[in-house]
Amino acid sequence: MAQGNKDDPLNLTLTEESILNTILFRERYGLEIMKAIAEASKGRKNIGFSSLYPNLRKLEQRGFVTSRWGDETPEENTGARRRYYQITGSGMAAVNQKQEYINALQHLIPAIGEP
Amino acid sequence: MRRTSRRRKNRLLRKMFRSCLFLLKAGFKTAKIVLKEFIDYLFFIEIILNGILLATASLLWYFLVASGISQNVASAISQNIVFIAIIIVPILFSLFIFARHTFSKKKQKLTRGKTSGEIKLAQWMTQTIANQNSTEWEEYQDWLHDIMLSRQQLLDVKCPRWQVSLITYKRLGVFWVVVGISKVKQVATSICDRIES
Repeated sequence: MAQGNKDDPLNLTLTEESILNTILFRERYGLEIMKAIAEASKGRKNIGFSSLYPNLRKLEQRGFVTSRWGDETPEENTGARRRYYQITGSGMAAVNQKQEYINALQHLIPAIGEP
Repeated sequence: MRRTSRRRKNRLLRKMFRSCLFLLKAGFKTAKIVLKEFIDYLFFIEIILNGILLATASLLWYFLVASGISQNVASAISQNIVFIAIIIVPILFSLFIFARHTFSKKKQKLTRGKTSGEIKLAQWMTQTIANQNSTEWEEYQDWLHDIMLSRQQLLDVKCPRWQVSLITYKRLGVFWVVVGISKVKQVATSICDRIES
């Protein structure tokens, strides 16, 4: 049984799923991912820094996301660099599997009135 | 005795002259600021407000006379409203403009060339993490980059300074805690590995 298996795509949390969907068609950096999620949900879902980056680490460890350093100049006060995140093939497969599961679930529920 | 009293008189006159000169200069400066700012939108708000007050005064006069109050009393009330419109409102607006101008100049003086506390904290965190040649700097520096970028974006949209500082301090605090926990986990894991081996 896949229950409790962290690598099972069906075990993706809402935050992880949101992050993967945000970078489905193009790479984004952390702050951009946060803003995209807030904008898409019209402010109803907000991910904080403390939730985003650890989740990005986990997704990278699971092989669903890959990252690269940006070419911009480092931040002037700290010298920190920007990092862009991109979805991998496994990540895309995980998102598709989750979507298929939800579609199957919707069609399995009987309509009201039917035996 | 006569000499000392004459010296005192001269000193007093000089002081009075200097005070008058100072008041005159302050008056001209205020007039200059007020004139400059008067061309701004506050000028139009004031004109509109005065217009409303004057119209109210006229309507009030007709209303008071129609309701049976004597013309003298009605005129007195209306004249008071006109007095407020012509004298007091411009004075209040001028004081407001002067206060705003002085405050913004003071603010510029204070913030010019001064590094804010949250930037210093971020710099200290960078030095602490990066100098230890740890993997945490490679792993988490983009988080720190985005915290500082978000801070700049909040300042660009004219978010209150104190609010920006508070938010940034909170984010840096959380960042420090997470990085600290990660480091402790790493150290604990390496100790366990050494013990096992």
